[in-house]
Parts: sequence; C-alpha cells; structure tokens
Amino acid sequence: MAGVFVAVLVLIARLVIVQGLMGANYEKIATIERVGKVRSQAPRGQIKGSDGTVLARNLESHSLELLPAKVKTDRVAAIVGRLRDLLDMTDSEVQELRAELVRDADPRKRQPLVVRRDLVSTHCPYDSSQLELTSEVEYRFCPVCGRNFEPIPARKACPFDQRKLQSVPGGDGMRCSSCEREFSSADLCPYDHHALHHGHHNLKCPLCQRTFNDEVAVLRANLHLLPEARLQSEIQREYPFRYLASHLLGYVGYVTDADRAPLLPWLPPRYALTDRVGRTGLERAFDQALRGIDGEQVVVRRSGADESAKGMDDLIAGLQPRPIVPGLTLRLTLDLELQRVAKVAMKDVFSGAAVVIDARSGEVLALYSKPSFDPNTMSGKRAPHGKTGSDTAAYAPLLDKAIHAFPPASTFKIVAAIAALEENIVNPATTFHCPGYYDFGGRRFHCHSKRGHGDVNLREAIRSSCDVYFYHLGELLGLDRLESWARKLGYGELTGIEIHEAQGRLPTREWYAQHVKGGYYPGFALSTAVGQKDVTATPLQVARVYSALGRDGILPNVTLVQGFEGPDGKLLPRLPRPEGRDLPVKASTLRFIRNALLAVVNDEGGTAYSSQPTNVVLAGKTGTAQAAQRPRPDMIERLKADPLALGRLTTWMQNDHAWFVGYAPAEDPEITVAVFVEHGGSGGHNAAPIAVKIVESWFARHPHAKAVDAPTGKGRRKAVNPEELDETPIADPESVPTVPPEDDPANRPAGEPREAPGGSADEVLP
Amino acid sequence: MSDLARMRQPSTLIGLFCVLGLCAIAIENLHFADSMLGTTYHRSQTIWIVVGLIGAGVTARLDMQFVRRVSPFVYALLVVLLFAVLFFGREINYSKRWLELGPANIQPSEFMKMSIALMLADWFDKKRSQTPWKLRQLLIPVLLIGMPVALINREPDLGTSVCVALIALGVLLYDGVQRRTLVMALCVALISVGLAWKFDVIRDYQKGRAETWWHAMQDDDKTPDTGQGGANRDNWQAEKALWAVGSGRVAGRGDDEARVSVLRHVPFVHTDFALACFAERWGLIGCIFLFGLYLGLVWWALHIADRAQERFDALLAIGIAGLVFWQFFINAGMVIGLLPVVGVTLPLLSYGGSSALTVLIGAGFLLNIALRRKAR
Repeated sequence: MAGVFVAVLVLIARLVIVQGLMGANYEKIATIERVGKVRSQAPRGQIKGSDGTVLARNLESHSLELLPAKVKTDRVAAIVGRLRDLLDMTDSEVQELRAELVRDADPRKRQPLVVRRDLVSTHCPYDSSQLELTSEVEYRFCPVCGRNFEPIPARKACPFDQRKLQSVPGGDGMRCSSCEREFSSADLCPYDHHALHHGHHNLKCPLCQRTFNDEVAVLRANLHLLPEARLQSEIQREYPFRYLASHLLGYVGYVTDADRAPLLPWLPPRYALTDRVGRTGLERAFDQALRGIDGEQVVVRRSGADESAKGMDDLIAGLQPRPIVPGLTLRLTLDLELQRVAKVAMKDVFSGAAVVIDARSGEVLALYSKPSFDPNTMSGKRAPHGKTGSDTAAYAPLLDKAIHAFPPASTFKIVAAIAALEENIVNPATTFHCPGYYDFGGRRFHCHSKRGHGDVNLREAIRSSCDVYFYHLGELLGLDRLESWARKLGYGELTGIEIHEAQGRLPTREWYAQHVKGGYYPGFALSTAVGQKDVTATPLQVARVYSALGRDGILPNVTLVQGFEGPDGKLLPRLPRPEGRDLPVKASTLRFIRNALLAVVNDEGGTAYSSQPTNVVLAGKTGTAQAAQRPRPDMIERLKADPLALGRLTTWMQNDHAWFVGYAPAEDPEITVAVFVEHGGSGGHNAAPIAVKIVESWFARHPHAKAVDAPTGKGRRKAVNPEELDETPIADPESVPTVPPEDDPANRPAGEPREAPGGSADEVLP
Repeated sequence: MSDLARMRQPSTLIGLFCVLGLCAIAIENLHFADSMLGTTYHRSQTIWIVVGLIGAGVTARLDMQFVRRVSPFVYALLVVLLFAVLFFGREINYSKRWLELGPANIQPSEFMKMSIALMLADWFDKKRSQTPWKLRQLLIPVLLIGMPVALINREPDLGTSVCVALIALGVLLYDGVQRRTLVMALCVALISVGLAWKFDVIRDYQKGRAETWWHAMQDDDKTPDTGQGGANRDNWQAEKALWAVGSGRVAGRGDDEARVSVLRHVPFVHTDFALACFAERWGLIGCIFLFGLYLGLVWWALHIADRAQERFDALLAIGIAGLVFWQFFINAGMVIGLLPVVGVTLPLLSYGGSSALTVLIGAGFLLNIALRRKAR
C-alpha cells in the first residue's frame, strides 16, 4: 500500500511541476502551438555584362502540382478533363497524366506530380520580356500536336519578321521557317487534320508579338475546383540572352546528394534540398559568392483561441530571425555587342570559337563557342515550344571550344621562329629552299604549297606560312627546345580565366616515350614546329600569347570579371590582379615577329592578305590544322536514322581546322582576336574573315587615333591567287589523321597507346 | 450480517464510490472528446459500462468455487483467442489487437489481465507452502504468465504484455518468494531486456519511443524545440499531450477554450491520451481528485486482500489491485511525460469495452470477497 501511495505521490508531484509550475509556459506554447524557423532562400546574384546588361537573373516561375495522396480514383477523369481545358494540354500529355494518376503505387509515398512547369504569367516564355495585356485575341490550338495557329496573313508573309511563308506539305497551313509560327485558316490542323480547339488569349509579348493566356491567373481562379492541385512558385534562374553567352555563364542545377554531403561527417548538409548550384561556367566558379547567405524567419502558427496570449512576445523574442544576405552581382568584362558580332560572324560555320581579349589587360571582351545551347533549359526551364531541336550533339554544343585545346597549326610557328632567333640558330636573313616538301628520316614532309615557295627567309616563311622552313627549324631546334620555348611564351599553361579551361599540351620526348607506342621519333619535332601532331592549345591561350607579342612581350593574365557590384551598383574594390609576366624574349626578336605578322595580313603573298579590316591595320597569323577524321561510332549509331545528317557530319569532319589569330591596331594593339573554326577549311579563307568582321565592328565603335579610314594603297584584292594563299595541310603526307579534336588530346588518359605514324612503312620515300 | 449491512461497511462504500465516480467521469470526459472529434464514443462506452456494472453485480453473487473451476477454461479460451488475434485480428494503427465478434471488437488481451490474476491465485492457493517460493517451484506459474505475455507482445502490444507481467509479479511477490529467487528473476529480466534490445526482438518504434522518452527526460522543462526537427512522431505525440496537460494549470480550462487548443492535435484523446483531455479541462485540482479515485480503488482492493480470510481471495484482490494500479500508473506516467509512450489504457477513462468490462468485473470480484467476509 505504501508503495502505491508513493507512486501516486510521484505522479502528483510531476503534475504539480507540469501544471502548477510550468503550466504558464505550456499554456503559452499550446496557444502559439508551433514556433519554428523557416529558411528563406537568398536570391542568387545577377551576372551583368560590362555595360550593365543583365545576363543572368532570377524570375519567379510557377508550376502546377497534383498531390497523388489526395487524388481519389473516381476523381481522376474529372481532374484530367478540367486540367486539359484550363491548360491546353495535348492528347499525349493528357494520357501521360492519366497514366501517372492511376499508377498503382502507395499514394502516401508518392512525390507531388508536376503537371506543368513554368506556367505563363508575366513573362514571355520565348524571350522573357514582360507581357502586356491586350484585348482578347482568338487563337486555335491543335490538341494532338500542340501547335497554335494564327490566321494566314494577306501577303503570305510572316507578320513578325516579314519572311515569306512556306506551305505545310500535305495540308493547307503555312509556317514561317525562321520564327516557327504556324498559320492556318481552316478549322482542321494542317498536320494531323484534327479539329482545332478555339480559345482566347489576353496577353501579348511586345517583343515577339506572340499572344498567351495568363495560365497562373486562370488556375488561381479555378483552383477551388481542384482541391488535389496546388500552385507552387519558385525562383528560376533566367538567362535572357539564351544562346549568346551560354558557355561562359554556365547554368545551375538542383543539388544532388553528393553536393549536399558535408565536408566533415558531423557538419550539417551544405545545401538545402531545394537549392540549386552552379554547374558549369561562371555560375560554378562563383557559386558561393552568387549564392549569398540564406536567412531564417521565425514562423508562429497560433491555434484559434488565444490570439493575444500574454507573454507570447517574450517567447518569440528569443527566436531571432536571421536576415537574408543576397548573392553578389557579378560584373563581367564581356562586351555584349562584340559577343553578338562574334556570334553573327560565325553564323555560317558549324562549330568553332571566337575569342576577343583586351591586349593590354587580358580582359575578355567576347568569348563565343559554337554551337551554343540554351542555359535556361539546362537550368530546368521548360522549352517554350515543345520541340527538342535538331541534333546538334555531333558538334558538341556543351563544349566551350574557346577554352578547349585543339592543334594550333601554323599559329604555333612563331614559337619555332622566336626560339630559333633567340637561340641564334638562324637570323632574319637566313634562307632555306622550299621545293614543296622536306625529306627527313625516311619520310617526306609536305609543304602546303605543292609547288614550293622557293628560297625563303624567316619573314617570308611566316608571311606565306612556309612549312618547309619550319621543318628546318624544327630539326635544328629539336622537340625539347621547342617545348621549353613554347612554355616560356605561355603555351601549356592556364591563362587565368575564371572558368574551367583546358591547359593544352606541349609534348616532350618523355611524353612520347610514355604515351605513344613506338616512343619518340625525331620527325615529331618537325610536326611540332608547325603546330601539328600532339601539340594542342586553346583559342584563348593563343590569343593571350599573341597579345604578348603585340604588346612588347608582356603576357597578360586573362580575366572575365570586372568585380562584384555593391548594393549601390558600384563595383566593390577587388584584390589586385597579378601583373602579366614579361616574356624572356629580346626586343629585336619581338619587333621582327611583329613585322612578320603584319606582313601576313597586309603584304601581297600573306596568307590573310584577302582579309583586311577597312578601319584599322590588323596583324596576325593564319593556321590550318590537318584534322580529317571519321565520326565516332556512337555518333554513327545515333544518326543511323538520319543518313542525310550523317553524311553532312562525315563530310564536315573531312575538313581541316581553320585558325586565325591577330591583333589590331598592328602598331599598338588594343584587342587580340582568335578565331577557331572546327573542320572549317583554311585559316586564311574561313577563319580570318570572321576575325576581320569582329575587328571592324570593334573599331567602328572605338575609333583608333591612327586608324586607316580608307583601304590602304596596297592594292587590296588585287589579283590574288587563292591557291597561293591557301594553306593546305602540312605535316605528314597522305593526310594521316592527326589529333581528333573531339578526342580532346589534353584530357586523354595517360598511357593510352596512340598511333605512331612515324613508324609506319607507307610513309617511306619512293 | 446481511449482505446489505456488509455493503454499508465504510471500505466497501469507498470502493464503490471510486468505481462509480470513475464511470461517471469516463462518460463525461468521452462526451467532451466526442464533441471535439465529432464522434459518438461516449454512447457505446455508456453501454459497455452499464453491461460492466451488471456483470459486476453478477460477479459479486457468484460462487467462488465455481469461478475457480471455470477459470482454467477461460484462460485456455483466451490463449486460443490470443492466437486467433495474430491470424484473424483486425489491424488498427499497425497493431493486431482486436477480434471482430458481431457488432463488437473484442480485445482478448484485456480479459487476459483478469484471467491471469484468477489463474495465479488459484494455483498458489492450491500449492500452498509455508516457506517462500523457490525458483524451480515456480515453473508452472512462469509458463502460465509467459505464454500470454509472449502472445500479446507479438501483436505487438508491449504495454499490455508488460502490464500482464506486472500484475502476475504482484501476485507472486505477495505470496512470498525467496529473496534469492527474486534477485535472480530480476537479473534474468534485465539481461533479457538487454538482449531483446540488441537482437531486435523489441521493435524499432518501441525503441524509438524509449529513446524519445529518455531524451525528453534529459532536457525536460526547456522550451520544446518545435523547429523542423519534430519529425519524430512519438516525440510529437508526447509533446503535444504534455502541452495539453500543462495548459490545464491549476484550475483547468473551460471546455470552449480546451476544444480549440492544442488538444486537437493530441492523438487518441478518446483512448490512450484520455488523461490529457481530462487534465487540460480540470487542471491540477481535478487530476488530484481523479488520482484519489484510483488510489481509493487500489486501496480498497489492498484492504480486501489484507482482511481476506482465504488465501485465494487475498491473491485475487492483489491481482485486481495490480490490474488497476499498473494500468493507471503506466498510462498517467506516459501522458505527463514520466514514462515512454506505450499502448496502455487508463482503466475506465479510456474508451474501450474490453478494458472497461475487465475492470468492472474485477470490481465485482472485490465486492464478492467483501460481501462474503465475516465482519469482525
């Protein structure tokens, strides 16, 4: 009995504590019911061009989700039917949704089902401009293929871009091949002859003139009929210029478990589940700064009765909210206009890159890689038109070719030239005879000019890119001296750009011994002297080296970033950038090289003589890398269904890589341009004109004091025989395929055996 | 002395007052819970209590010899039913405890509490010995206890199986067990709990509850952390219940206030957490009164055991005292945050026919013993 009594006393004592002593506290809690901290995401910093144009920003995006746990089986048909009417879903979308809803799975464990992302609300899904209200515009929509049709205009020209419309095969509809608008006057879809659905749009994009329905407003108004659905909004990363600068900007992606894993096991996860992190480009390089610091809000949910519980404020006061620190805004050195010019200048090439840097500071003014991609879709945005686009994967759209290493071809010849001059192996007056070929070690190395250049000195050799002259230099210098001079000039090292770049490769004897079956062969030095075989460099690297040549031998550090913007829009002070380094080259040598590079563009017989800008004097060097190869087996497999595309690809890959790198104005360079056209043909014909367009555009906007207004009196375009100028491939005869660019030589795993052309018998002299 | 005169004994009156008071409070409290949940539990509970009171009356007049003859068969039937529950039981809240018999759900484990008391009392009475019990003499009662405990634990229903074991332990101790035996039994119990923990005989959710309770006891009276970490459901249950109890303070809250308070978020306010409901409404004063009623009931049973002239009666009364006390103690301790959350009902106050019936029949046995006793 005593035990029982004690036990009850213990219970009562506890009750006294809970109800008597702590009661007030519990009452308060019970009234507030739930006090918690809620993380609020800091807005990601913007990325701006040098003129302040926003290149990456944040936009609110809405999505419609269904909660499978709430969806009852007998409501599926009603839900699907209503959503189809509200959202203009196509039949296939409807079927997919229905299948998802009736899927046999434990509804309690299922994730919310996203019906549609990026609902149209305030911004145009095509160009992100702010939509405007308009009087109701009728539209017709095909529920099978999902196309919207506008009435056929009277002049049969696209009302937006005035292009002539093309009629749709097998139907009475028309379409604009440029902006992909569809037109039809009939009530049936011209593609699948399905009855069109009529509706009204009340939003119009002032830029692209397309009309839309405010899907978010429509759904909000009807959400009470769909208790199973909810509208979610999130902040979406938005790149208004889409394809223009995608490689350097990069994109963001949702965190993975690997991202979230803390650095040390007992630390909290590094990111929240809904966070996004920069995946490539600047978004990745400056992720931490752009991300900002998330804030914490105190959330108090009260239960109904006591809105005014006494002392509640004291309780809440103990929970301090943490303010959001927004991400910093990044200001780039990128000149958007120049970037656009570079893009337009490259419109006719399949694949390549154009780099423009400030020759003095190393600031990147344009960095364009083709083909490009849309970072919006990579960041999880819905493609505005449901099409997947043509298969450009063959041209590696995700690869930033401006910072990817390719064989530099004749642009590398200056290395041999400088090395030979500095090592006193030749002097500017030394001549070699070029019969069109050079026999070495039992093999015949051809010059690009089959007829040969005759007796040439060093300046003429650079001007007309005589391979034989440089075979001589390669033989005299040897591979290792070439390598060490290339390294001194800035090849094979990182340029300092903030995004992830390739380093390029400068092969040495040891490298050949390790990586190539058969090991080193003296002929490799000859190929290396003309920038072929295994030497690679990125267009950006080459531009940097040529900047140094143009600017008295000071090798600048490349940068893309001016700095971070403070809240007032002014640039925050930035850590001083390291000074460029001096090239260990005599001034006389540099003067000679500059003179030779001037001759390449401006002297008759120069390989880029046909490409002279009208408003400035350009100096530079062309390059044509022999790079014929066959499509990779996986690409052949992918394109099997499309023989036309495969044929196009195969033909394309037979071409050589075209290079041009130059600086202007020649006497006091401001900018350096490097253009690389993958499988583009010849440097003088295919790469130099692109560089000229870029240079002309720059100096049209930034007139140079000593600019030449009119064409110089050197007789432009006067009886120039293209064949003479054209650099045909050099190095090994019979076009032994050299470094395949897709094969990324710099990143090739060590130890993989490579073909050793030097050892093969078919190259033996007749 | 007539039966009526015996009824007038103060101890009997106290006992009856406690039982009837608890019945009244139970119905009232359930009525409130119903008004909050929108259910009608208080009606069926009223029916059960009426049936239970009639059953108690019948029990009070039964011949004990008849009861002793029948009790092995009842025990056997209940063991069979416990087996049946495992196979045909109705699953509520992830646990199979109920058998559907016509309109009612029967919970055999509740009846087993009463039956085990009867069986043990019978066995110890028959095998009476003058010296304290030695371990090997206890083989049969250990088997008698072990089987239902194991079966109930399989359901799973840790709380009830512990309850059954504790009831039996009470009877055992009352009859006198050798000290050495007791120490050994305790050691075995401790080791087996340890092993069960280690080898996952105890289920994860049970472990979780125990751990939750342990942590809660560590930093008890701080402001509960209600951030996003409250994913632990058991923590959540216990926490909400504790808030509700605490909000009652000394004098209790009005019904209208309580109806919209945190009580809405306390799970099982009509069954396991009925005390939370009562405590918020009636406060410390009401709780002390309620605890007094339980204490009175237990006291009555112990008083009867003390005065009983037959060994069987005394042992039975002890068993019934244990039945009421352990359920009350475990449940109350759980609601006010002293013990981990287990599924033990509060006698009479928790909704549940089997439980109410068992307690009331127990009260009937007590009355039976009290009425047969010769006045001194």
